[in-house]
Amino acid sequence: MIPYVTGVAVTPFGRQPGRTALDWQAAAAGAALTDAGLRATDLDAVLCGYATTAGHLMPADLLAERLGARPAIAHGTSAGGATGLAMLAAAARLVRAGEARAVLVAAGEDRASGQSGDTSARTLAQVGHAEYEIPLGGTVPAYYALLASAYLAARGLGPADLAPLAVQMRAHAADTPGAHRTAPIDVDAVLASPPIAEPLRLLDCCPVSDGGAAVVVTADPGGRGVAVTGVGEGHRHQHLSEADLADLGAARAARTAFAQAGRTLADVDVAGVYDSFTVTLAMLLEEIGFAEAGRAGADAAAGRFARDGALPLNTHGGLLSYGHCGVAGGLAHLVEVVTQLRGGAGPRQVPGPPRVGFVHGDGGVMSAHVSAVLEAA
Amino acid sequence: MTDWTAGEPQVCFDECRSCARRWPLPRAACPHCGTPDPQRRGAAGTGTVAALTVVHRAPEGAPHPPTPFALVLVDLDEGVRVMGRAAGVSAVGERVAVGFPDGVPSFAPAR
Repeated sequence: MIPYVTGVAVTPFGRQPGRTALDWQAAAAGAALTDAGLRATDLDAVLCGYATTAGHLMPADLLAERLGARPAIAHGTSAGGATGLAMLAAAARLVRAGEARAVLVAAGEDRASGQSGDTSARTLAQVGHAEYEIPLGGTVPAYYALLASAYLAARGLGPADLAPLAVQMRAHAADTPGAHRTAPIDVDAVLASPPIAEPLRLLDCCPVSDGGAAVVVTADPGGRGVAVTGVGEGHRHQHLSEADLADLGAARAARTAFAQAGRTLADVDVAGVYDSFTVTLAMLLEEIGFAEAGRAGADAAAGRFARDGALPLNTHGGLLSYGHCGVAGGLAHLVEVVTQLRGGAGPRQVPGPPRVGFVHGDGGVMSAHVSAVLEAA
Repeated sequence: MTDWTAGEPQVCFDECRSCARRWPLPRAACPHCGTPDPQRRGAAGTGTVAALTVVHRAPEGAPHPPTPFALVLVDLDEGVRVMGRAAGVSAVGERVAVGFPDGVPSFAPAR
């Protein structure tokens, strides 16, 4: 049985005090159900991502109760930034197996306004090793900065070669209602922004946002369902100290998803790839095979990832500029790709229309990888 | 074999008793061949810088030195990559040796 994404929703992202994580999850879930033409009582499975501000033991049951759902299957999921697509993959497997016919995948968090910046940074740094890495004082930006240092050194590049990725994401966000960061930037602005963990500067890093996102996965394609034709995962390490930079797991995840779908990289018309930092996006694009080694930034500068480029990428602005509220940040790429495949993106619609979409999420320090191939009905 | 996490001024790594592959963090079994109970071995503490960052922003209440401070990934001569702080290191590819000035590994240019 083929699973279909039949409902999607993403809220505005930004600093928006006054709502809890559950409020954001419920807002996005309700909108996705409406989009799918379903009621909460139609759901037989609810999957919900963790929220660092909530820390609840059973977020899916919590959300189901709030929505008025009484599903047969409900559980929270934690795979860092890959959580949203890990839930999509789980939903697809449930539908394929005949275990569920309507699955809600939801996430939301008041990550920007529900805690201090220091608390958020300390919480996220826990993806480091408790004994061997965290005592050194590293942060998530520092871990990715180490990746960036190794990436740039291996390819003979400098920080200016990553900056075009941030510039392209910002240009996309400028046309997207609800984006967190929309003021135009250029490469000079990225290089002049304050250093966070060199070689990464402020504009190499995604903002921390409040918001939510949700999708509904069903066995019934409905009128405009987008088929989930392949999913794949790769989990090769947790900690940066154990990372094999030549085989992080991203390509493995993508290969599995493409093989299931009977598709190749060349078939992809629109993509959503995790972009917590510029270097994240560069390394994922290159390992998966969307860009040649060291060429991701140059490709961005040449317009290859623009809406009218050869590979329209993160057309909502990505984490770097639509924003990042945790699990929902990674789900927003999926919402955007589905919206593009439906032809419903309005002024930011990719011409074509696109038929085959690809999404990829990364959790931890390039630790957890989930890919999916999506196809227009 | 104990290391700096237990107060000994020493960097250690795991080595598989069967296939002899090495990795930095303690594991229950070899990730390559599955042989359980790897041997914990001591490293000489010398190596080559594989990655370098200077951290300018770090949260209050976390165990870090005053900003800015440097972190490195070092490819030890035993073939294992480890993370440490750094002092006086300027580039990837530099030869370094470890010390433990604050009880944690800190790499400086090798003399």
